[in-house]
Amino acid sequence: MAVSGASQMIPVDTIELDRANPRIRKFLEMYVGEPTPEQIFLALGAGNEEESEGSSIPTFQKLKQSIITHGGIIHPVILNCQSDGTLVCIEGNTRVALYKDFLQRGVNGDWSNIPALIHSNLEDTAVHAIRLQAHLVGPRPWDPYSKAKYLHELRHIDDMPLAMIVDFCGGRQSEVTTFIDAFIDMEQYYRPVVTEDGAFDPKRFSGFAELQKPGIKKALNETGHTLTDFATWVHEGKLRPLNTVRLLPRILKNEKARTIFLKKGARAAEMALDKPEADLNLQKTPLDQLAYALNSKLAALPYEDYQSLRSDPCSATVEALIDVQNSLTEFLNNLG
Amino acid sequence: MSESVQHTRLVQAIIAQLDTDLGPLCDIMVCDDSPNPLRGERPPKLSGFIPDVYATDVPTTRVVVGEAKTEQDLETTRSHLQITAFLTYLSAMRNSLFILAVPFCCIPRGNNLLQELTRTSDTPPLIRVIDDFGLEHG
Repeated sequence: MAVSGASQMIPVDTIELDRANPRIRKFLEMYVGEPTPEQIFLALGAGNEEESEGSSIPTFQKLKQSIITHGGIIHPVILNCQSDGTLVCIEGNTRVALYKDFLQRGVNGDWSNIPALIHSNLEDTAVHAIRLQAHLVGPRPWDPYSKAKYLHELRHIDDMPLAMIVDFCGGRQSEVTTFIDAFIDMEQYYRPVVTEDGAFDPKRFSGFAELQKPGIKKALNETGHTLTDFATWVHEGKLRPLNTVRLLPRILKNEKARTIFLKKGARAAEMALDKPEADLNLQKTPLDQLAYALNSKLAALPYEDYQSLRSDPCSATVEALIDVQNSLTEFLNNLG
Repeated sequence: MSESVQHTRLVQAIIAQLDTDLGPLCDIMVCDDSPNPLRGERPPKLSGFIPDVYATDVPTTRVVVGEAKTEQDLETTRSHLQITAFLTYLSAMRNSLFILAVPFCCIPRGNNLLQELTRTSDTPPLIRVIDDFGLEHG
């Protein structure tokens, strides 16, 4: 059942953070006794750090930067005024915590009042309904092509400085740059290829985002191919799934794989690539042991190695891990 | 001045130089391999090596790779392999620029080294040697 509330600017120091917030409860359960506001703040940050980079939900740091740049929040937080007059935040705890932190640290700007929608004496069911709608359903994120188109317009038409776009989005500059470059390549090379049958498919955007990774354009150039060739392959479905774009440097440099690719596509060509044979002893190891070993290895991966893999998404190790991910996903889906 | 302090100064000199080549810092993408990167992002690995600075305009029409070398670093085999890898990477791109930042006393050697390393390339990138004050030489 929908409930309506009153919209107001509320002093942040009168708002209590919600200790029953599912996002942070798992962290707060580690503390004995009543958690302090600082512990709740830490838990909110810690809870958010778990979100993956590709997630459309902003991480703690991204949200923080975005609020500072914008000078406030866009969506009001939702408060429940309890019978004793206490204002408890039921949606927007991180935003309230950030306002409190900015106020305490004297961050430039007015952080004393926060836009809020206030309900009175909400029943538990209504509180659950609000939380579920906010976090399990959530706002519909834009598809990547639409995001890229918007970023491109901000940069190209409105001449907004890159640093400002990055701060507003709360993202990484390389992500924004990749989105804008991928949009331009898609419009310049893919759109003309599909004009005839009007089959422009915005879902192919991720192929053009992959194209921006180091080494892919270079490989095209070195093997005498053009970006129009690339767009044609995307259109013809030769690069399906689109993450096979990252195999292109290896495929194009391998005569046999290249021939297969041009006829049948990247998945078939991949089979022709030289793949290192796994250690014979490892092949005899039971699956569960291999899975435990991979898990432990990933958990104990030194930060330097992680950074190195991250900066080289076309490396053999990353490709092997992606192969495992694909096989595992398919395998587990089949298991039900 | 310690090696690391000098290296940091050289990286800063490259970043300051970007203003001339790509435009104001607020308008370009800059990744640097410093203890505290300017925008919190480290450069991507290029041909197996991570440069000290990687920058592009947005949308990307020009790529600039910068490498800082102290006097001791400049003569190591690894440094020569690294610089060669960056020059090869950039040679496949139009309008690319390689900036080598070295202490003032190493400017002649820096210039000679880049000339040696680009001699056999058909399409070498633009190259520039600067000192730790950002002054261009050669």
